[in-house]
Amino acid sequence: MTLVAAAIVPAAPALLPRMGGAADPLRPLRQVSREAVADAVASAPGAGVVVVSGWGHSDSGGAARRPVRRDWPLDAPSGAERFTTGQVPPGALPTGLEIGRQLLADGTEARLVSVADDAAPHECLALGADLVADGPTVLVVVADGSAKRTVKAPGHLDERAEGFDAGLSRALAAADADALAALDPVLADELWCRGRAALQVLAGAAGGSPFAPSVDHDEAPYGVGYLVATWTPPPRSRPTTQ
Amino acid sequence: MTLRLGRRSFADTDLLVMAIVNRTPDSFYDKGATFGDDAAMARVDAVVEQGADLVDIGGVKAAPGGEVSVTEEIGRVVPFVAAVRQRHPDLVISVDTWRAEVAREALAAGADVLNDAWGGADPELVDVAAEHDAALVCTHTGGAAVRTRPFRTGYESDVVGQVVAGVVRYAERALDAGVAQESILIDPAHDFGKNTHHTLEITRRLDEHVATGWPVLVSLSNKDFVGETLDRPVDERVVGTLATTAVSAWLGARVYRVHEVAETRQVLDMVATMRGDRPPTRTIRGLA
Repeated sequence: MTLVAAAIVPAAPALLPRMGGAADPLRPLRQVSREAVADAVASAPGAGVVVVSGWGHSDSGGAARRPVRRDWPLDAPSGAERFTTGQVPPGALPTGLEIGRQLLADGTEARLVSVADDAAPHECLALGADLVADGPTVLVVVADGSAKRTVKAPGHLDERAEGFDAGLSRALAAADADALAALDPVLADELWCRGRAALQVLAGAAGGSPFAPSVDHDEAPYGVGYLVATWTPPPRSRPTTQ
Repeated sequence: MTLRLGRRSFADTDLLVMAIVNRTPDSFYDKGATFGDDAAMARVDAVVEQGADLVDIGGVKAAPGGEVSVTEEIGRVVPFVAAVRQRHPDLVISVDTWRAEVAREALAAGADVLNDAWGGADPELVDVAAEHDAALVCTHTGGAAVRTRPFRTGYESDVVGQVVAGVVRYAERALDAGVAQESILIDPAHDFGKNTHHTLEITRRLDEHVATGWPVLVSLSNKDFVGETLDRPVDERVVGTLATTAVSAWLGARVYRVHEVAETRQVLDMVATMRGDRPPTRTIRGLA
């Protein structure tokens, strides 16, 4: 296993430029997310960067059936118009990958990989292991928690959502890959947690490696669980500058 | 075309609210509410707060009424223009007058725009505007005498064609006199020299004014064509006015002379956003 660092950021379309209107209500979240990505990338000099996110029903990109894994070119066209005019060019990125791409610092080389939202846990874990097989890797995981956190949430209130998201938060705060691997896909679906598959890719990539984890943001202002976290190399494994 | 109103310039997509500030004891809508200095200044402060881009200060009501001499009009308008200029250094100030003598004094006191509601009745007005590099609103009255109501006014050929030709002729006369091209507006002058049928025809075909390329100002606020269309007295015309405002904005008018500033601002923001010229303020539904 050669996952050396990871950043976990939300997948809200309102993180895309201009999507939130002039007030841009997710501007602070975008900033925190950008910093998390930068921290993860900076903590692992020389590592390859892979952005991974779910590919869901709301951005099918023209594909009738979504493969478990698809690799996308870094310069793939934007799919943001799916949230405005509906004029989406062929081959447009799934929204999560587009969010991840725009959170990268300018000029960052990265691979973009989608995982089908409905991929089975074992498929996600295998994909994660595969992504880090070639050498030291930083994962940018674009995923969020339940969209049923409050009465006003997109999916209305589900009493189980808060506990589910608290479990995610604990897993990220402890860099607990086993906990992520154990997420129940049926429950995740019921709670409108579209980040489950991508988080299990992270679990597969992490294996048992140690990390210094940090949760920088854990809120649900619109009823969707937004988590921003980083897993960076533990202090003893960081290269010294002396 | 970029619009320049004295000290400020505005983008093509900006929709501007011109707040009416009457220095008259007898105007049809507010009935003298801002005849006093303090009330008038309070009105200016309020409309600036509500998002007005400019104020239009007038000392003579449009309808027939007591004679107001040049001296009296200057007394009502000019010191107040100076006071507003001092209090709001960046605010665009328009003066609603047809008289060159009044205009000259008002521009010297700090006004930026001459709103000539009477269609160039005083031929020297364009020269005064040019001398002071002021903006000029060129209206159409169909030759109606100053401060008269239409009486069996008829147009023997297309009313919109005649109004467009009239305002363009006035605009070109202003240009020839030396008024800056980017500071000339046209106004079909709803209800001036027109019955309600005429005004409605102009309203539904406002795009023909827009197509001239001159920026279009409309003065719709609580007017009789709204009242007659909906059979509403003067104090029940706001909804009709705002509906007309929305359609006029959709058809391309740029400046709106109004009594209700906050409501108009909302309507214009809504239309500008529907047109794609202004982003929505806050969009999160379905995007969180």
